[in-house]
Amino acid sequence: MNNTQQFQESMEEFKGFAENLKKGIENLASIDEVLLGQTAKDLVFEDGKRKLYRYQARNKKVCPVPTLIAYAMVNRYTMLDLQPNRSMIRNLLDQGQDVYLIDWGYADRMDRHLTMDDLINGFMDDCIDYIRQQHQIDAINLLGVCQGGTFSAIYAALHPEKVKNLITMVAPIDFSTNDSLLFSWAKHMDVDLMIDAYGIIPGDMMNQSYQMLAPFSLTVQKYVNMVDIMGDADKLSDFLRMESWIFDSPDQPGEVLRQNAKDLFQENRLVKGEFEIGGQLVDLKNISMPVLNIYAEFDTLVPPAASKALLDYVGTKDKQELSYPVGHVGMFVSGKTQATLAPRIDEWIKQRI
Amino acid sequence: MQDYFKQQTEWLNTWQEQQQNLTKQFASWSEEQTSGVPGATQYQAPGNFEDLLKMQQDLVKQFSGFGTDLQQNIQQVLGGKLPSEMLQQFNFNILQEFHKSWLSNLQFPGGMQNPFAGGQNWSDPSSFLNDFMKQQNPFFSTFGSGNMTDELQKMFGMLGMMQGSKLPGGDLYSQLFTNFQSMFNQLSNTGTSQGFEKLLETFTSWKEQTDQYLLAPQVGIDRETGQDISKAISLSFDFMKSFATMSKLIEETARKAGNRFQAKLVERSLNNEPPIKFSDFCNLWSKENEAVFLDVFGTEEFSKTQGEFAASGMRLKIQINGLIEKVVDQTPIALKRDVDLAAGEILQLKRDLRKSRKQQQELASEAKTARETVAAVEQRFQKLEAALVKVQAQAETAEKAAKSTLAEKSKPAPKKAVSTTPKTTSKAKKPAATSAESVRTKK
Repeated sequence: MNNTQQFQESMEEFKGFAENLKKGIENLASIDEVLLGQTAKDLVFEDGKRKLYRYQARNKKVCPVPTLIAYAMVNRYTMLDLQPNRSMIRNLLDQGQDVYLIDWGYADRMDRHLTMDDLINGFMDDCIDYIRQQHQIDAINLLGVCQGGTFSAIYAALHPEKVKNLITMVAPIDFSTNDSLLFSWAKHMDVDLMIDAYGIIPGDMMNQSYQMLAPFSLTVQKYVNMVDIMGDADKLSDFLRMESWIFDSPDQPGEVLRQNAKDLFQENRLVKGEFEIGGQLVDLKNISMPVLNIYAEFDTLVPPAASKALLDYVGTKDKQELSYPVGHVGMFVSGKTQATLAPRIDEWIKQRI
Repeated sequence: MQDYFKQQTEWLNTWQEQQQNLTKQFASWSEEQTSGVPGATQYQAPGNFEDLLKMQQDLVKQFSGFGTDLQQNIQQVLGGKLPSEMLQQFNFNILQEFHKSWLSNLQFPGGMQNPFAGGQNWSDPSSFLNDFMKQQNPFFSTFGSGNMTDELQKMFGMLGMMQGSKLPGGDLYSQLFTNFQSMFNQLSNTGTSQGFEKLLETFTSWKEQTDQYLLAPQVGIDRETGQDISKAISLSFDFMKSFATMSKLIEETARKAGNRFQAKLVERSLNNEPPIKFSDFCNLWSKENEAVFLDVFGTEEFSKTQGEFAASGMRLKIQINGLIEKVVDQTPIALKRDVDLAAGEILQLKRDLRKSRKQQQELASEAKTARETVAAVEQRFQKLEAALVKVQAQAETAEKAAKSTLAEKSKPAPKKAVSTTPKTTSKAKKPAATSAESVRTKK
């Protein structure tokens, strides 16, 4: 290719850039609001910032045992309901599942002393009791995602009588692996100092750590690629929704993070049977109900080794593993999972009701 | 605001049309040139070409102003709709600046001077990208040499707060902070980690002298404050040392990544696949840089260095927070620790409340169970009672019938009638037992 051709190609690209930008501006001006988590739901129970929602049914035949979803605290649950055509929650409702969801809310300085015990034996237990009472049943299905999956496994080990089926998704259980940079970085962090200095850990600080997992792709390349899709209103809206979710990182209550980082990431106490909350030792062998463990094969946040380990430690014989060739976020938004993930979960649950 | 976008869109339309005309003209000219005599080494630019390019350059300038305006307007329009962190990323100005930089580095045919080359801040597109990364990425910007001074300024800001307060021994501290600040101001002229290390040596000897005043203060100066400040200075020294170590690591990695990227560029050119397009170039730059940085990020050395850097920063922050709190403590302003204490008490009350509520629920549940048991027992008792009444009635009826039969039969011989009475009673009890069994079965 000679200089003339190179120049021409560059000029063409510059022209394309301007064109995309022009359409992008029109699209940006016409976008009213970037809304996430729009599937209809009702607030049924709350305790301060923490709320329990029940989603409105989308199928006439509803599963008699409801499913409670517990998402992570480090990001917002809206990832599970990003938009109508990319919504695990909507897909589960379409299958006939009766879905409840815990919203941990946005922690602030008043949550400085909040502990895992307050969240798991406190609010999560209150939510589960509420659902059990409302449905006049002894046990419900519990579906935990990411850190919410760790919380759910802990809860199921402490209160097995209240959990009929346990489903964990991209949930870290065995923290000994260094397959993720986050895991290896966390091992050398003086968490006590961090919490003593900040009290409540800023969400931006957490976000910065996630960005450093792919520092160039997530800070430069992504926005260069953005210009290419700006001309397409739908793609631009998708992009904005995803960006809104990424930067919607709640601050983390210091004591929760302290226990999470020290007992789990650094000392790996959960699988050693040494993890304790509220004065109770958590024994994963107590997980006697059926377990479905779902992980992402290319997960760089929660590597497969950290998730897969759950089935080695639970007490139940009815345990099953399901994986997808996607990344952490791709599990919820990828086209590869949209069509099959919810039906697989639904089928697994219905076989055990 | 819609008017603004409309106006800008119209402007862009005009610009685009002109752009198309220019490109067409250039294309026809270059076709003419390439179809010329084989082996010709010098191209002849068309007569109006330089004017056209000047026009292009003017448009780019206009575009630059437009980019800045656009940036501001997008912030205003979408400010309420999107998170501010995300809006910071909408840096159109930087994107179009990159294009300018890209164009400025084009090699024009026929040895023509590149009209975009003048007045650029970046020697090549990759240096632009490097600068972008240093300025826009919070992690890399932390370790940029310019920001090292910013970090220190933040620290001085906090120390300055104390200086302005009514600390005992004000003169000594005033002098101390001035020296401290001027020493670290030299950092702005220190571009290398070597220079930084030399500065740290000076700092060490200065600190030793200062400690003589702080740890054994003269009369009138509060000993505790002197010790607190000495500790803050020591911690700031540790922080700077770990900062330097981390910066050095990032600096070395960036150099390594730059070399790798350049090598890839050469390799692609030799294979006649130079990254011509902006997006191709950027992709290559991101991919090669990221690979080198992630290799380093994955090492234990990096994790430890990062951990030490973070810890030294936290230690300093805690110490300075403590010093500031001591100053603010003399005022009626609530301290963070007061808020934390209050939050802790509120949380504990909530826990107690929840515990009481749970106990109440358990008691209510137990009471409910007890009430249900009592009700069931009562019901059973009532049934038994009813059965008993029935049996008694049956017994009475049977007894009456028996008596009447006996009376009739025993009229001629009264003695016989007395001896048969027990038999009659035992017969009457039988139906009663049968009746009671059936109640139990039902139960």
